[in-house]
Amino acid sequence: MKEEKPMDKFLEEMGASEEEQEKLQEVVSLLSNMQEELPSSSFQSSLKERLMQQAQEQKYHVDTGSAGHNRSSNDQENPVVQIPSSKEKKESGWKHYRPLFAVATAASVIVAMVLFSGYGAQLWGRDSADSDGSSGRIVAIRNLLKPPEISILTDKDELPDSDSENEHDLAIDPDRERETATQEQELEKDEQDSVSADDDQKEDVPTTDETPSKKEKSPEADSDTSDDEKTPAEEKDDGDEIDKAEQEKDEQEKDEQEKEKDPLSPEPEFEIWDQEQDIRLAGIVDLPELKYGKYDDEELDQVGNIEYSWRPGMIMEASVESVGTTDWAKKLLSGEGFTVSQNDALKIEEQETQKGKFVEIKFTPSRRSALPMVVYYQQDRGIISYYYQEKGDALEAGYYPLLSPSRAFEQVEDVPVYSEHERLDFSFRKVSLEYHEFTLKKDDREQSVKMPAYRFKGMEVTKGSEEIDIYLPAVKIP
Amino acid sequence: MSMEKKEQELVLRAQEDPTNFAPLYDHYFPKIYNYIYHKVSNKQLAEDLVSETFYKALANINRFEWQKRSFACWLYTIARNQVIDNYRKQNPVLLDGSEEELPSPEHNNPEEKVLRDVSRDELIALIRTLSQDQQDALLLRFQEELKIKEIAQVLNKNEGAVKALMFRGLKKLRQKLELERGDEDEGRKTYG
Repeated sequence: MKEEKPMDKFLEEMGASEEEQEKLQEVVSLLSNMQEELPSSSFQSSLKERLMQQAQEQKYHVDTGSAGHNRSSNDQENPVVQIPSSKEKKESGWKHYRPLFAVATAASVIVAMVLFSGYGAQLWGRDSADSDGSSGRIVAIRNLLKPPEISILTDKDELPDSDSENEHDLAIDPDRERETATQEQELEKDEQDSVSADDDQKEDVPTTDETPSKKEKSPEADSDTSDDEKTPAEEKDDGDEIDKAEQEKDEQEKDEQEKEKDPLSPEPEFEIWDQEQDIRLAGIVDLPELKYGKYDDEELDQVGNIEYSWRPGMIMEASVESVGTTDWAKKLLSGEGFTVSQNDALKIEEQETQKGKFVEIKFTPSRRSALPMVVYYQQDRGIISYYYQEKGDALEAGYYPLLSPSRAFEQVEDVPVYSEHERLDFSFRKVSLEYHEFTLKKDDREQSVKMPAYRFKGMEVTKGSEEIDIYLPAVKIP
Repeated sequence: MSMEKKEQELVLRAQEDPTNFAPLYDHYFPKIYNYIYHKVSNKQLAEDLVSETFYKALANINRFEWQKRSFACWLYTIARNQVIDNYRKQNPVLLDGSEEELPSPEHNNPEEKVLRDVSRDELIALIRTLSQDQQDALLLRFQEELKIKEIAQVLNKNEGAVKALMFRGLKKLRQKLELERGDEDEGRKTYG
């Protein structure tokens, strides 16, 4: 156990109150006194042994390299991977085999050129097709060949499956992953079914539980067998098909009867949902820093003790009767922090379904910098989803799902704030949807990317500052 | 001879002759192991990552320069990169510090101060819900006892940013601990 340390000074520096310092000091004590994990001595010694072997090999290289020869900077940097020095080459009899080696190298270069020229033509041929407007898959292939660059991917851009590096680095919407996993499971299941069906056919054992889908997977088998030569199993299949057709007919009739009884469609069907696109960020968004107060001094400290709150303008429950009216829509959007002015356009579409009333609100602000937005509302549930309309300025045109302002606001904690104040309390009340240039980072590369962002407007409450704007990505970030 | 001087000499000797790496290994092995274990909380994985760390350190010992940072910082940076690479492979979402939703203050019990009986495993599990940078800042400061300046070198951030990370990390950890404690008490009330 380590000795308990005196109060860490930085807590005071961060502007924590005495009570807060005391509480946090308890956590500091827990961390400091956390029992150390002891490694097994056998692992420690076996690793040491392996490392010493490695060191021996390195030593050999260093020794031979330092014997009167100037090594390249690369060799100096990486003593493990080294090119033999000219002296080493000479000593190892390299010179004797030099002509033979040259011939072999030339031959292999020719073979490689012949092989790879064909391969390259295929890939670049596909790539040139891309420029004619073909699918995003080819873009992905081209991107593998080009030096990697950071970009926003839409759902049409497929990621290469085999590139594990890309797979891990590119943030993928978890919902999407789940969907993919389900699809994969279904595919696997189908494959298994088809395999078992094939096996059944091979063994020529009549089965009673073959499904029509299995039959569809082996059309050759069907065409080879005439009606006269039907096996009992096949006859049973025919019977099953007739039964199934009858069942389907019954179900259709039932549906029609139900429709007559209940003319409402079971689910809402909004056009925009068919045009839905998806964004996946190919990197990590580096949120821009906020400097608060007098920031002439460049040596401002980053503030850790900050409180943030998001209290949108008016939270009000619109009465059931007024759902779907313009006033109701204005109130709903205001409750979410959006300002709806007189010149802004609001287009409302209602759909009554078996699941209740759904409302689509198309909100097109008159302010040029603001983006057109679509909000979906379900009676008794409130706002269920947000979309924005991309006209092709930043991404492919279409409708892209957004986070709600509240969800997007959760990222505010990652904004680095610099100030001469030790403690700040920000309160935000208004929001608008705009484009913003964010820095997207991937490995050591970074790139400025224009993407939809919520611009939160608020102020520091303890100092009563002027309005502060913070831009946060409005789309899911990794 | 000061510790720093002694370490400098050891590093210099290892740079001249890699077989002299052993004393550095002996000194730093438990620290690096401890740091990595608390980051991954899995013995087997910790061993793999520790091996990788020391292999990399040995292979690149000649690239190390005293002017930039201490040897300890350099070693912790390699270890941290190993852990991050591993997270990338295992779970790309967590890498970016996607943190669990914080409990709202209303659910906390501010009077609850009995945090001392929290088990190490519980504490490690809670630490791992913090962002990667917050975890590193807290572990390097309070477990590995690095100075804030050194942590800043490992994390490639300025000292102010490290203090902010530590402060927020501690605050979150406190909230999570209180919530855990509150849940446990709730459980006791219900079943106990």
